Amino acid sequence: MPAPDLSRRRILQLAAAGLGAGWLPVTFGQDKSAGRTVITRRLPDGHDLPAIGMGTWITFNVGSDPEARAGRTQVLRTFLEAGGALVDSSPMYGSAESVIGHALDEIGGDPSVFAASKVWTPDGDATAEQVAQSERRWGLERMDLMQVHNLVAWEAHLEHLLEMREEGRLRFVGITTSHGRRHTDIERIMRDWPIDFVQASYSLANREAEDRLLPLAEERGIAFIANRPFQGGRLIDRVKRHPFPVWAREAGLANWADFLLKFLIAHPAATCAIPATSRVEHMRENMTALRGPLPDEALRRRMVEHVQEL
Amino acid sequence: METWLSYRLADLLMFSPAIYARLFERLNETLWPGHALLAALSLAMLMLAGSRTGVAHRLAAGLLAFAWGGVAWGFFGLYAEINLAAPWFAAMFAGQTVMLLMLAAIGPGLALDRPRQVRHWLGLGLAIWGLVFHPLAWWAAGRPLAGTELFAVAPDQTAIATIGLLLMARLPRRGRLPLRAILLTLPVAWLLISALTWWALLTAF
Repeated sequence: MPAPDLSRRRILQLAAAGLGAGWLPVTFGQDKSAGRTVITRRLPDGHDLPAIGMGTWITFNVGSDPEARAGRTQVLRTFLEAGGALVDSSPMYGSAESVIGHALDEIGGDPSVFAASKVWTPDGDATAEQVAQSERRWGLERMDLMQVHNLVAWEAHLEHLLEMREEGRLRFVGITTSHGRRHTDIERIMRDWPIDFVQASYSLANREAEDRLLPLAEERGIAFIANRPFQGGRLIDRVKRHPFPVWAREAGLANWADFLLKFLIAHPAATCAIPATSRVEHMRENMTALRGPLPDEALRRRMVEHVQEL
Repeated sequence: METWLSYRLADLLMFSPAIYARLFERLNETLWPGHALLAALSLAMLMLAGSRTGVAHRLAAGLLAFAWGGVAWGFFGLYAEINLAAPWFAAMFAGQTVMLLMLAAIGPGLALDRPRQVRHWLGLGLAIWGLVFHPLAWWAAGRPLAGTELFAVAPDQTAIATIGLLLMARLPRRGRLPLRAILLTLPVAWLLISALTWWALLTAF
């Protein structure tokens, strides 16, 4: 299944919808049911990406279990139908990449996924092999984004990935970290290497990325992916024990997932947040954050204060 | 090293409790109706181990090795789909299989003593727990009957029952070799790994 030609898609979008909203797979920037514009962020190459993506750590590692695979297919279908595009995975996530590939195959047609995976091996010469493995598992001819997972053998992998990008075998190159680890190294790479994406943990309860990574991403024109937006589920479980605030509803926020995710994508340097879930109803909640008004700075401060008090 | 030390156990977890529990449902689906044969072989192993002939004891040790080999092949084959470390654990179970086969072939086999000492009674309790009550405990805790963890199918039950049987067994020292301690090493190591896995599963979700 070939990855969509973004440029062609963008031209078609502009011509057909006249939105000027950039690349938006399938929905062309519109919710089919409600007709509301999807929130997008501009990528380093000028294309736009829906600001809510999907993580697959744990949730898509279900092996060959047919029942669980059918469930994950429904989750991915819901995500794509709601206007989502970026799906993030890694060979470190066990069977997740193969499960995504199976789901894309089941969904069929031309599911316009923005395929993001990672290189995760201490062997610095195995970069191309791992990229090919991801393409095979996803059932794609070309990955959109390959990232060096947790900076494992990062120098060798980055060199190879950048070469592959130059040769047109990849669209974008990035690096990842999580749980606030190795931010100093991440900053150094962001300054010294021509990467397109950086991925780090960023949530309403863990805003360390706001100190240096996000400003640096903005300065260097690097797209920022926020992983662990719900802190592995602990944050959303905690806030869901409390009633949803009236003032948040009046501000246009629909539910706690919308609250936590819109806070992140409202940051001017944040490109995409990637919550993970194995449940369709949770995916629907997550995708409410792809539409509607974003909180301004004053409202974001109030959101932080409110969650700190819970 | 500093980076690795910053990981919590739950951060290394790759799968959810529901998917882990599904492994047993899927294994039982595959095995059914072979459970009757497994139960018969388990019973035969106990009877042979409790008998008075050396050949029977060797057969009992062989059947216990068969149980470990079955788990190494069946359970860990499936577990490897969701846990990158599973092949290492499978190697542990394969190692125990080889040692039990050696116990059958060149050792004294598996000969159970009548319970006289604390060790024997502790072993009897663990064997009964592993063979009967541990599977029932899962069922009582709400897991569907189809997902019951059984001796010779699931690693925890197999390890618990094996520790019990080894504590009850007559395993004299062979020269400088502490046979019992050697044979207990891998089952105990597995239970520690399993306990850490369950700790991570229960605290992460």
